[in-house]
Amino acid sequence: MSEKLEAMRLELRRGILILAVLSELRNEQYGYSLRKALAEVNIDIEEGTLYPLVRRLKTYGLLNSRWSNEEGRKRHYYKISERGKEILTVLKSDWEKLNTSITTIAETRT
Amino acid sequence: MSLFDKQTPLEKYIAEVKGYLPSESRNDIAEELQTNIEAKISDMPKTSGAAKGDAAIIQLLSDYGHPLRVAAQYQGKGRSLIGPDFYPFYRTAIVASLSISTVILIALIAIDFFFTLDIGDVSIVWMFVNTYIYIIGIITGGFFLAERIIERNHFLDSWSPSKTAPPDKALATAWGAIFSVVAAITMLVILNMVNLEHSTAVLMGQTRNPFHTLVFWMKIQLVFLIPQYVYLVIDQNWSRAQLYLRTVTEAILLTGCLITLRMDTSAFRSIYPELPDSLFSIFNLALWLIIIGILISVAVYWRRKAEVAFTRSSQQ
Repeated sequence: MSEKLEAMRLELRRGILILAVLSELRNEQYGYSLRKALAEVNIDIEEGTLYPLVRRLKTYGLLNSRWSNEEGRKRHYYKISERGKEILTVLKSDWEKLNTSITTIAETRT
Repeated sequence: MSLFDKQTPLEKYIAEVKGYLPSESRNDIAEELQTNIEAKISDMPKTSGAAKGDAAIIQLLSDYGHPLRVAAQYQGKGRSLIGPDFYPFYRTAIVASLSISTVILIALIAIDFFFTLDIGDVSIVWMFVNTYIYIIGIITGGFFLAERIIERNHFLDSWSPSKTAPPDKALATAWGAIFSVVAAITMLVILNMVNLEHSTAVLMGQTRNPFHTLVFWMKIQLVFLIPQYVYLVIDQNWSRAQLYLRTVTEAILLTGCLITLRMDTSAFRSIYPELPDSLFSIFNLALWLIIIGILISVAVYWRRKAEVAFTRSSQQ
C-alpha cells in the first residue's frame, strides 16, 4: 500500500509542478538550488523530471535564463518572464478555485 | 590504461548523455546537467554525510538513471525509431546477434577451408555484409513493430491476474527470450546462406545430401520458432495453445532429424571423398543429441505447465 500511496502523492505533486516552479522562479535560481528550494517546502521532485521541465518552460517563453560564472563555477540561472507571470496568475487562480472545491468536497462529505 | 579510463564517472556519464542528445542543444544541456550534478555532489557531505568517493558518485548517477532516459526526458517531442524504453534491449540484441553471427561465420569459413564444404557461392566480404544487413534489419523491424503493437493494444492495461502464473513458475525470462530471438534469427540468416534447393526431394532426403536436408528442416522450424520467442519477450507465461505450437515446432525438427538419420549417404560420400568418416559419425551423434534434447525439453515444458496448473487449482 505504501508504494501505491507514494505513487498517488507523486501524481498529485506532478499536477501542480508547473505552478510551483513558476512561483519559485520569481526569484532567480539555478537547477539544483531550485530543486532544494522546492524540497524545503516538501515538493520533492526528481531531477530527471525537474530540469527538463524548466528547459521546456523556457522554450515556451515563460522563463528567462542566463549563464553565470561565480567563484569559478558556471551556473545556468532561470527567472520567470513577463509572459510567465501572466500564466502564473491564471494558474494560481485555477489552483485557488480547485483548492476551494476540494476543501468543500472533503468537508461536506465527512 | 586508456585515455577514456582517465575520465571521472561524472564525465563519462555526461559524455554518454551527450551522445543521445540532438546536436543543436547538446552542449548546452550537457553543461547544465553537469553543473547541477556537481552542485549536488558538492552538497553531498552536508546532506547525507557520505564520502564523495567514486562509489558515492556512481550511486548518485545510478539514481539519475540510464543516460538514454535522461536524454529522452530533455527531448520531449517527436519519437525515435526505437523508443527509450526498448532501446537498451534493442542495443543489446543488436550487439549480441552481431557478435554471435560473427563467431558462427568465422567458424563456417574455417570449416569450409579445412573440409571444403559447400556453404554457399558468395564472397566472404559479402557473406558478412549480407548477414549484418539481415540481422540489423530484422531486429530493428521486430522491435519497431513490437513497440507499436504493445502501445496500440494497451498491452499493460489489458493485463489480468488470470494470465499470470506465480512468479517462480514463469517458464522463461524476458532476457532469455530476447537471447532466443537473437540466436534464432542469427541461425536462420546463417542457414539461409547454405546454397540448397528448396524442394520436396531435399526435404524428404531423396537428394542424399544429409546436410541440406537437415538445414531445410531447421529453417522451417526456425520460421515457426521466431514469432514464439518474440511473444515470449512480452509474456513469459505460455498459454496452452502456445505450448502446443511449441511442441509442433519441436516435432518439425524431430522429423527432420529422423529423416536425415535414415538417409543413405553413400552417394553423397562418394561425391566428397575428402570428407572424413569421423565427420559423419559426429553428425549422427549430433542428430541423436538433438532428438534426445527435444524429447527432454518437451517433457520438461509439459511438466512445468502441469505444475503451474496444479498450483493454480490448489490455490482456488
